[in-house]
Amino acid sequence: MPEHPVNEGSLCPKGNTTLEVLNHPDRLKFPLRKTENGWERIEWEAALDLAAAKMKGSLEKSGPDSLAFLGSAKCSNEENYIFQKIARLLGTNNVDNCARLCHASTLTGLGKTLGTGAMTNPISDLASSECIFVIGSNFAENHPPVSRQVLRAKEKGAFVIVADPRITPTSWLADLALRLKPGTDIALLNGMMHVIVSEGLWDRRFVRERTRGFSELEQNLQRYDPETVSRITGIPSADIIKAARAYARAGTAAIVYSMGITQHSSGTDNVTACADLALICGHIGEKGTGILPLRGQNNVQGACDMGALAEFYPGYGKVGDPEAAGRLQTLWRTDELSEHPGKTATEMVEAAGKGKIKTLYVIGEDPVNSHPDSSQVKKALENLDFLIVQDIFMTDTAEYADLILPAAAFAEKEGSFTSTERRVQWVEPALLPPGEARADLEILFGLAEKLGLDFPCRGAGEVLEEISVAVPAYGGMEKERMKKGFGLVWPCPGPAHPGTPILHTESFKTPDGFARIIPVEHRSPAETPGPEYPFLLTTGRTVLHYNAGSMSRRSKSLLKKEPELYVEINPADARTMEIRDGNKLFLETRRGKTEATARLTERVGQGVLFMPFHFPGTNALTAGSLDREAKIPEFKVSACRIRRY
Amino acid sequence: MPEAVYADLSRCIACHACELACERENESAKIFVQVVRGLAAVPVSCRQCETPLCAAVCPGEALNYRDSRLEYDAEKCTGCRLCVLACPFGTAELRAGVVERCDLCQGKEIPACVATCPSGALFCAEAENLGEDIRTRRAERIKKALGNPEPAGRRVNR
Amino acid sequence: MKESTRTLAPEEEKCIGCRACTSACPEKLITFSEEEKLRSISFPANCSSDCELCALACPEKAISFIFPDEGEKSRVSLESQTLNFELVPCQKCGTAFATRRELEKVRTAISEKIPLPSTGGFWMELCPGCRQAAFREKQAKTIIQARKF
Repeated sequence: MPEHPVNEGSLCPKGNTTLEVLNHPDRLKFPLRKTENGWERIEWEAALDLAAAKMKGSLEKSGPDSLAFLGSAKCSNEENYIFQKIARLLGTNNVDNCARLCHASTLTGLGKTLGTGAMTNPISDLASSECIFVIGSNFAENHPPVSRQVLRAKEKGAFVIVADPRITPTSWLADLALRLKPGTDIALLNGMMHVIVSEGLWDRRFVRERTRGFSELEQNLQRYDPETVSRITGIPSADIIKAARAYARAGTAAIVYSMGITQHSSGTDNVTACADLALICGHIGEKGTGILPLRGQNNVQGACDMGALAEFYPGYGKVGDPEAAGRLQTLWRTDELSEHPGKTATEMVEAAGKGKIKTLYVIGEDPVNSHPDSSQVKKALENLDFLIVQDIFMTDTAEYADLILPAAAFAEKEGSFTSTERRVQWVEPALLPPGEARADLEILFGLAEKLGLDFPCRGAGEVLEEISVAVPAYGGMEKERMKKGFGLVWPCPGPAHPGTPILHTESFKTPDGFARIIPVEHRSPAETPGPEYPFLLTTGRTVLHYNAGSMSRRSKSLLKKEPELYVEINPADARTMEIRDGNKLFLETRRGKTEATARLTERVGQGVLFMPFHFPGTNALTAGSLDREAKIPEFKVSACRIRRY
Repeated sequence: MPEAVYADLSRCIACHACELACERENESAKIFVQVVRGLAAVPVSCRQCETPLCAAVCPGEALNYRDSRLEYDAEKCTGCRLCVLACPFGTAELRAGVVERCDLCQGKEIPACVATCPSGALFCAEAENLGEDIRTRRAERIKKALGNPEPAGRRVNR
Repeated sequence: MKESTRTLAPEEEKCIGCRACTSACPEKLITFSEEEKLRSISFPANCSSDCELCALACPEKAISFIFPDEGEKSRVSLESQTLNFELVPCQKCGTAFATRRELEKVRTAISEKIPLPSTGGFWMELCPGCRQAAFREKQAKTIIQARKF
């Protein structure tokens, strides 16, 4: 589709090999029950009866909070909406999705500063930015079409700054590369703000008219002079000053960030610092400006919008807020919504390990490989009374299931999906699901019926109608409307509203309309290298694979190009340890041990190791240290050692 | 002059989408991307030479340069591999007795690699038309890299 | 029906070791092996097919057939014949990638179209993989300089 405004017809390597994945013989085709003799194929009726019976059993014996629901950021809005509706009608708010692992910090950080935790400008706006500040994002590998817009900006003379501990293909596009030590982002951001404030480059009018809290920030920034920041981050102070001036002086400037900012025990504060930077310079609310958190799944934005979250209802009303609960109770015709926030995805694992969660229903998610500390996850899953996994492949998590429900993939069903730039698009099926696999929506309705929840089975279009009532920002979303053109960008509160590509143009989504500038302090990651574990292990993605890999590792072509788990190690470090390219190494952390092939490269600095989490084993090493507010794990920093056995 | 697929190296991000699209549309990939020194990615494919050395050496007349285009007749190919040895760029391969090289996805409006490239690095052009655009961009890039870049733009008083 | 058998007569002086004949033969009677720096092409003593595909494939017209009644007249041996060729190593990576005669034939054909240096340090001394790599290095030179971090 060369006319599509986002990718203009281009596809990344995963897009190019989609059919290999969807048509793979491993696709789950039939409901399966675990018996002593292995997997037994059963009929759908029996499968749904079993699932409902187990869930009701847990409910009766141990109460609603013994149930937990882990939703999929790859399923449609309609599916996520019904999923959390089922959970909440059963009496629990233990419903969450993998956004917890990636952009939970965005929800909390941007939520408290701007009032809403979503990308403020469309991706195409980057082409109009005079300065693009990229921090903790490797979009060239992980969101390749974003490069298109950044390159357009560069052609017009834009100045691109890339802050990343590694040199990545994104760094190749930079005019200024800031190679900071992992976990020092707040220092860098505060350092830049120090320069901006002390040189008088901040936007006085914007700060006065649209924000609150500047004076506290000004106080706080005094300690973050360039020399101090340089010591903390390892970036030369001249570069910090250059970056600050470039960003502040530009007519339009945008901040692009991703996991490098969010996946820290200080994730919320990292995001807050990004927002502070944009706010004091007034780079919000106009074309070419803004804060762009790049989200990593086709519907992680939608899953959050639909309230598949432990602490938010559909539309981000807070669980516990009587008004938000009231509206939902009216809509759902119930008077029994639980008032306390449920367990987040990361807390669900802990609770299952302690026996507080007895029955877990997982859709389209592979926590064994995507959560930190895999051995804890495995123990937790084993401890459950009953695990239901609904997926398209037998993932490592599905191996622990008691019941497996085969689902249709994104191209095999209809529904709406919300992209990172808040664009809601309608998808029609292009393929038939294999065997007896069913659309998740169909499965959920079937289950709801067995649970006695009085849900008439409806099509996705009708569910969308209910969503447009439950979620004000989706008020004008309607199937036929979305099929014309390229979807609608929320907020779209009414049927005639054209959608809102740029947020915060007039006021912020805070109760009083003013953004909050909140000072934050640099602090060390939860676990840092020491004598026993001298390396800093950071994890992330590479261009050829996708997340926990259950899909991309089933593409023959992708696997041929990137067949196995590797660890990037700086050649100087390798030389000291007599490690050569291709050697098999054992990486050890306090959580576990994993084997990987050594890849010597200058991409990582000395003392730093990088491993992609697309292969099982990487998350056996990472720690479950959570950000206090967002409950997101610190995937980006663990202390690690290398053994050669 | 024959058109060839060219890559703007300031845009290539080593994503390999071109290789995969080519492989999918043409049974095997005829464009190859590798990273040089960890600092740049370079896609390489048949240069569609005006004086194709592969055709010069072909003993069976399977490779023929006709009407500004290199044609390949698999029926006449003997699998002698001399064309592979003749290509200065190492882009011809012999696989299952058939010579494989980029032919710009003959029959399609736009080569698969060019259509799919996310960063817009690949494009089709005749060599003689390349000059202006690329030379200008390259000069500017060098100037910028060697000089002290000014932060872009000035604050607009709002 | 009587099988007509004939002998293969590859001419050692003409053969350049390109092994086109090995893929041309529908019965896979002609085989080759490559080890270290040596390529060996083995021709069977006899062949009962009635095609001439190997002879047609040969770029040097080095294969001919000798039929039974001609046996006493020619210098043919009635045993299978193996021709050995030393393989030239790539100047960069050392992989043996072609026979000397193959490269000579290519060089001759090319020199008719473009001038080639007589020896030393140019692409014909590299295997195709290294040629591709050298081309890449050349292309990337400018941009790598611009991207020093």
